Amino acid sequence: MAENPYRPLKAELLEVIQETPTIKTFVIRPERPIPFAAGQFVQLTVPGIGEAPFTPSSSPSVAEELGISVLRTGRVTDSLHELEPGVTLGVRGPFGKGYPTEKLEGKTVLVVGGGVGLAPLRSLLHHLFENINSYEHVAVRYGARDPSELLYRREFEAWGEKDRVSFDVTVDVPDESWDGKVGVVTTLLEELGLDVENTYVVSCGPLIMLRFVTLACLNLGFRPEQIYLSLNRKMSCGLGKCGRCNIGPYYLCKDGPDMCYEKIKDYKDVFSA
Amino acid sequence: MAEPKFLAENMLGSFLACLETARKFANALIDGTALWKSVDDVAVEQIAGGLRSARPLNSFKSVLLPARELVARYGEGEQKDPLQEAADSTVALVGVRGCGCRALAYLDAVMLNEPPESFYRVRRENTIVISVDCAEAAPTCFCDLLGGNAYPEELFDVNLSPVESGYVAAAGSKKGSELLEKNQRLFSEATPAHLEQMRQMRQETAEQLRQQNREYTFPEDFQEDLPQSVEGMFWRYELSGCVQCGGCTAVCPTCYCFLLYDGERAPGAYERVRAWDSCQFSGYAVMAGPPGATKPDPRREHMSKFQHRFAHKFWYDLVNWGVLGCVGCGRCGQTCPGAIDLRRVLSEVKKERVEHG
Ligand SMILES: Cc1cc2nc3c(=O)[nH]c(=O)nc-3n(C[C@H](O)[C@H](O)[C@H](O)COP(=O)(O)OP(=O)(O)OC[C@H]3O[C@@H](n4cnc5c(N)ncnc54)[C@H](O)[C@@H]3O)c2cc1C
Ligand code: SF4
Ligand code: SF4
Ligand code: FES
Repeated sequence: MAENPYRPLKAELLEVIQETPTIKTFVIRPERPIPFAAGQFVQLTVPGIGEAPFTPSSSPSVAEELGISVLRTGRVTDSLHELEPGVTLGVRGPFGKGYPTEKLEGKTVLVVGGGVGLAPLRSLLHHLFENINSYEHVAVRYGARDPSELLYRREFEAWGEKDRVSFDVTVDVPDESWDGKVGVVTTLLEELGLDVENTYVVSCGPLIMLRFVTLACLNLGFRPEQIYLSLNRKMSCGLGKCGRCNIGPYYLCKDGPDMCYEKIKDYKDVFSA
Repeated sequence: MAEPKFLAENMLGSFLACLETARKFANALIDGTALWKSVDDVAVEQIAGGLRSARPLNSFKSVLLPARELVARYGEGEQKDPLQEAADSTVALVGVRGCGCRALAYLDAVMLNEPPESFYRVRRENTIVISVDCAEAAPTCFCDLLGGNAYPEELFDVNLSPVESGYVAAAGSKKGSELLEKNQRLFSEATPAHLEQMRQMRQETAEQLRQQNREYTFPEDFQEDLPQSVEGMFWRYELSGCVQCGGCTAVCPTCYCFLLYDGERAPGAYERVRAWDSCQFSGYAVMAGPPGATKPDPRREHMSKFQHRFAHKFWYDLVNWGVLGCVGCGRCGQTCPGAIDLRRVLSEVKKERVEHG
């Protein structure tokens, strides 16, 4: 008989890393490996409380342990943030299609992240960095509300120093520790100097940011088929059956969560919030 | 297929008894309304009445996709898999109508495409479908306007056509042929008179539908016309009747949305429950959002929820499965406290396109 798709695998919580005041990374070891592609997501269960969808931020080349960076924002994530290493969680997945990494080969990849949206993009960055010779160039542009909310700040320097990689970051509201750029993330797109024709955009972040990133990219001359957005919807089953994660005829849990803008641009609820 | 048989009315009880399934559900007439009921809870006369009336107000979907069911246990303690329990059970559905068979085809398309929904799949495999012709249509029925017939044409094992003092029984599958074969003592050969009564009954129901639906005209191309009509004023009029009770989606044989909930049964022992949800409810699409801020909802406006139900059934389903997500059973129109009738709404879509095309 087929396996019950609703029953989570056991997963031991190995490590909890405080990334920002509101974001922690949870490293879990599932009872058996979960091979995933960059951008695919899992449903993480806090026993008795419920599940929530997250895209692992760790390298897709490691299936035995998954790192998941989680913003504290509600019922499930509040209880997650209370947990200490050693407890048993549950996990289902992977779900969704993942990023179109093959299509990106030979191209420049413009990765635009906002806030905790850098977490799902990080699995893509791992993949791109591990296979950097397959790509022309990787341009990472990141924005957060304030410096304390910058995710993976300790790694920025190393990213910027990599061959074929450029990195830039901005915050909406600076504090005294900040001597970097100030402004929303789209301001970093104005001075790109990329070969638009040969570039794909991949973006993840709050809906409002995705909307402005999309507009900015269209203005820069990108065509809708060059823009991939990681879209968020309320998700439950992960299997394309519970019905709630749709944009038009697409179910993001199955057809996404990263969608080519060309496919969805004509459905009016894409950016509404 | 073998020649049609005749099941005398007084053999109905024996026929129900010969269905060797763990659970049996049938149409039963209760205070003048046909409802799906467990065969054990009603008298055979009520079932005979149910099979001769218009389609039940509720739908058989609650057997294949229960309103609320335990789908997984995890953690400590007993780990009997609810999926195994579902796979071990068998069920008979007696009284699936023509629209019901089309609803089954639709649910099969949605639930059995990769990856198949396991609970639906094991139940579906273990279900015997005894369908029945509609000897009468409900006042809100409009299967005819969507190109359907008021008698089953697909996915049944045995079909019963009510005629004088009994039913014409026809097998629609190997399982059905075997059932008729094995229980042939219950049947006689259907006579030409029986078949003529069946033909007449079908014709009368078709005529009843034609009469009651003659003032409605539907768009020829839903996929084209529906999106074009969304700004039409008539939507606001229709919306004003909706109190977001979710009745329409609950009685609909094709609405399938659900949500998973977790709970703790005993210390360390957890359960996951799957329960129906409705796109008409406020929390349905509400997403997680930044701490403290109002949670984003891609369909916050009541209108966008209201139109979503139509868009899903008459637009997205055509894109995804090539079939409509509505079979015209008229249950939603019968149950809606705001008297919102799909026939009127869809005719307005057509009118809007003709006037402002
Ligand atoms: C594909 C995908 C990938 C994601 N990746 C990440 C990531 O890497 N990092 C990250 O931080 N976030 C990520 N998110 C967002 C994350 O899933 C949400 O922050 C998370 O679901 C919040 O859950 P919550 O219960 O804490 O929040 P809540 O706001 O309490 O709930 C979130 C959702 O669950 C519903 N809900 C709340 N309570 C209940 C209940 N009792 N029963 C049923 N439903 C309820 C709410 O209506 C809401 O839709 C991702 C989302 C998606 C869709
Ligand atoms: S049954 Fe009528 S009132 Fe209730 S949610 Fe459906 S359309 Fe609205
Ligand atoms: S939408 Fe209404 S008429 Fe159509 S199948 Fe559902 S309940 Fe029946
Ligand atoms: S999460 Fe259930 S359909 Fe996408």
